[in-house]
Amino acid sequence: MTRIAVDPVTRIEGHLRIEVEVENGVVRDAWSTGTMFRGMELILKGRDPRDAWLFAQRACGVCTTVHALASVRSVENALGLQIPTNARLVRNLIAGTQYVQDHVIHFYHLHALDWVDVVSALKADPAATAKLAQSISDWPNSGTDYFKGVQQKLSTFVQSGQLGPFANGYWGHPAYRLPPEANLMAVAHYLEALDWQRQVIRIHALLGGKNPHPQTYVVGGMALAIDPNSPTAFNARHISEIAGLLAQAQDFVDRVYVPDVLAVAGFYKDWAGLGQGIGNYLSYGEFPEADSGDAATLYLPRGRVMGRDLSRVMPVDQASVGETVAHSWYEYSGGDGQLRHPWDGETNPRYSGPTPPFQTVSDHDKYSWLKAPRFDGQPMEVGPLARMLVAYASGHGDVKPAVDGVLSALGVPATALFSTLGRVAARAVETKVIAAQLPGWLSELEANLKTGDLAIADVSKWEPSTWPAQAKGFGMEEAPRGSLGHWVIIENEQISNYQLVVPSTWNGSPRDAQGRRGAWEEALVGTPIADPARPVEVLRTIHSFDPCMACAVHVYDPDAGSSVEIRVV
Amino acid sequence: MTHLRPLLVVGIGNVLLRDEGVGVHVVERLDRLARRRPDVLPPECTLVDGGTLGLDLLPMIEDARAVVLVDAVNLRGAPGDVRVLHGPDLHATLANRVSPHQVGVGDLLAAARLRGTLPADVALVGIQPAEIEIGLELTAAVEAAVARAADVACETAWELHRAAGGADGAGRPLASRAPVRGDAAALGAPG
Repeated sequence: MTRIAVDPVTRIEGHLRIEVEVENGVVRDAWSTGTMFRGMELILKGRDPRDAWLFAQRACGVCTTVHALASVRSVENALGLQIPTNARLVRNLIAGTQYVQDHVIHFYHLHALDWVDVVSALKADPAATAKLAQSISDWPNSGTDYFKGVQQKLSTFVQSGQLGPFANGYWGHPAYRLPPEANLMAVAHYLEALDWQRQVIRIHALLGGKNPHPQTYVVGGMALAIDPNSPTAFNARHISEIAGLLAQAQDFVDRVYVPDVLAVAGFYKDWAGLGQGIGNYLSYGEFPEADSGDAATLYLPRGRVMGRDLSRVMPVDQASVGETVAHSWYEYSGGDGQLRHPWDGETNPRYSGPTPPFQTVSDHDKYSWLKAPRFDGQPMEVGPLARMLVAYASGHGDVKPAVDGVLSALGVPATALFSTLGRVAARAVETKVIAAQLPGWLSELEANLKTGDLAIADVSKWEPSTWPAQAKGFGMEEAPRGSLGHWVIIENEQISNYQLVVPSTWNGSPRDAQGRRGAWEEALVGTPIADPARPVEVLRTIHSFDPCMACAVHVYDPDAGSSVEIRVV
Repeated sequence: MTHLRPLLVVGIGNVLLRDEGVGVHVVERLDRLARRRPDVLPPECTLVDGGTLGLDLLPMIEDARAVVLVDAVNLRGAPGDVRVLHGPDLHATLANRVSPHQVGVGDLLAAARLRGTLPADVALVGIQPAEIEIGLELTAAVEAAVARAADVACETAWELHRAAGGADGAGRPLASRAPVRGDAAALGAPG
């Protein structure tokens, strides 16, 4: 038996490590370990709740705006504030743009390297690449000379010997199946995606004063001076600039990203049967289309799909969220196996793992800094696949035809969605749907401003003297990576408890008191591993969840007592 | 007068992880200094709190004439040690896992290099951290090094400014200098 450890590096969101036991070339069991204590809760205790978002947004470099949003929502919920129409639309535009940017960059910058052999692209015939590109899309950058130029750039880069994100990839691994031309096309589009991103993030700069961290959130709305007729405020010129940027964003998604995903997926259809996971999917819902913020007004619906049953959508109530520390390095007063709701959440670290550097941690009863979140006691998967499945099962007017279109293009049934490839495809479908939705929110904002409504924040509860002596709130959000919740208790004008349950904690959860695995752990069981020294198959499934990380792979062979370390970014 | 592209000084790090955030603290100090005395830094110098961002910084990097990164780096020295890394040492350092955000910065520079847009002159002012754990305050040794690191960042910014042909137009590549070694090869073995 071989044990493989995937020891990824991430930002504070977590150092994450996966240990896998391989028997007869198949993963028999898996353990997900957060190797870093997250103590955001302790930093926020005693602070002014109006400032919480400023700290929260530093929790993760990639997810700054999402933590800011969940944080202000939790405090608004505690104080009973309803944000104005303009603020709701600006928040939808920022959050929706984040989806589009994150998903595209996740695919090209991180996940594509699990499917695309970059080095093989050097062997491609540029003329054949041009033919291939023209066969899947009418995107204009598709000539022979264009691909020749990209190949030249790549060659210079590879010859420099400093491969950056391409260092120590499993180049030449038999699990890579794309012809050299498809690999070259993907590299070209990776470079274009970086250019495209430059434009897209300008939307955040215009709406968020993001330089580079967002500045414009405020409890009660947004702190954005807004007036279509003022030269110094957010005005008609900004709106038309954003409209142009959104159109560019959508064009790239429709003509490059989605066709690329379909082209790559066509070579890897067996991955529609791998990485199934738990089969329970959770979505808090996102993008309120009315100011009440009621769940029924969310563009992407709130709900659950349980046991892969697409005939029923189950309800979601934040009261059903609880976390256990049965296998986590914490201590609960009253027993580690209990499920505690975040309002009653405790963060009492008590490390009981091996002293680093260690070769294995999964032989310990407690093996992670992540708590194990459960919904009604059940482990759940979160992320784009969960959102698309909940929307699909709800008969969503935009999502259902988009998902059906992808299924028929690939010639696979709906059950193929419950897989590693399903996650990749769902992310592309969601990007397409949201990119198409963003211009509508911008038009609504423009129309609302034209009525003379310039309200952007409700500041009636700004003064702490207007607050009750005690208030509790929650902020539920669908971040690009999945369900994100912030829970706050305010006592005597200060935060007395603050708990975050983030997407990576749902998906990367360790076992619970009943021994049930978390989403990554479950998804890895049954995965075939061709070569334990180069476990690209493990990375494909873990990266399909978009865990916001780069990895170092640590391969451990207990029989030989030796270990090999491979870095993969 | 011709317009200079900005010379970027970027503080990198997570301010919620004590010494991990020292790069951001150094840039905040530079910001306070430059507000009082703008000539402490070369002309058209932009200070950026890069936090833990990765690719979001790409447009700024690509548009810069030179870049000074300021960051916590495992120099295998005493807490608060400050060293400047250039060229191969810089890339070797970023290719190793040193602190929780390093991969992001390494990725960022590699992406710019692949695109052929990485400025010729990039330097890293590294500060040896003592504690990387949850908390907002720097440790005493690293706190004491912030002023020195800010001075070194200023000097480095001026060097890059001159090397890029800034004030006197007599540009020369920094790669020809003897690099200040940070024993990069021995840094933080992954795993």
